[in-house]
Amino acid sequence: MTCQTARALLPEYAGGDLPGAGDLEVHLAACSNCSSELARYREVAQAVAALRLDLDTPSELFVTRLLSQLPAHRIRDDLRRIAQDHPRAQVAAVSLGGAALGAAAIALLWWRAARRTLGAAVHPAT
Amino acid sequence: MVSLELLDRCRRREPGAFEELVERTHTQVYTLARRLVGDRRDAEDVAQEAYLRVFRSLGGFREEARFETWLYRIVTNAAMTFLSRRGRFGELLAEPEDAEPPDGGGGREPDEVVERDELKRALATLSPGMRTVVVLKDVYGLSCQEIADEMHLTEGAVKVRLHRARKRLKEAIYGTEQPVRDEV
Repeated sequence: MTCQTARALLPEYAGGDLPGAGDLEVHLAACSNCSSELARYREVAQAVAALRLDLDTPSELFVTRLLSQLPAHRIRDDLRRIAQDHPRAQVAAVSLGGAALGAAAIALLWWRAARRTLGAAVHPAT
Repeated sequence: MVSLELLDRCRRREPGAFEELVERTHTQVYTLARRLVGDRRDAEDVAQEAYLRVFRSLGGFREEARFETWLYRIVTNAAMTFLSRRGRFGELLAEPEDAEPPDGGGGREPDEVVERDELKRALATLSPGMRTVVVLKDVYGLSCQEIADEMHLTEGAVKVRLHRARKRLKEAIYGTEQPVRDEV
């Protein structure tokens, strides 16, 4: 392998993207210039990888703003805001909830009574 | 960074679970967004969009071992959408030119530690496309194919940009290498 061919492979080799580079390794063992060049690439690669630990911090309100945009939070926040802005809405919501609960209870009683009647018609007592 | 148990709680939409996920990951997500789009405010918009996508699609995500990579891909995708809305996506797709790189740091020893600020200055001299590829591959560990998918490039085009980016960085820090004289 020539130095020119070896140099063209060094960026990939230093980045670990060149498995099975036997010829290159033989060349590097014999060529001090190319192995110095490889050491430079490796230093850069190491410094680049270390950037993962170099973190930027977003503004203080970022997380709060982000969470308020999530669907579940948005519905909850909207309801809370409506309740605060319109106290009558709270009363209406409670009344509606109570009415819905009452209707469900009546429907359940009606359904049980209807089942009992139907059962008596299908299997009359002997 | 994120435990399997936390991911499971997020999938079950347990109260407070997604907030915990955001708390644990937001600096990494924001930092990547900042590296991809540059501006602080734009990076916050990209990070926010990325989390909304994570929130919507976490239910279908099953490869827990690859959560970080998956998260970084979503951030990259959100950044690409942002850049194309701003008409800046073309900068990323532009072919890396063969202009002479800035020649820096001549006379440095090969094993001398590269300072972080020096590296950041060198990264800033790369074209946006080369910088994006080298950051995603060498900082965040995405594969060339994953980068190609997110940037709408071929895997070969990603490899060319990566090769040139690594060479440019090395030359910006250690100086341009002399033409080689074949010795072996």
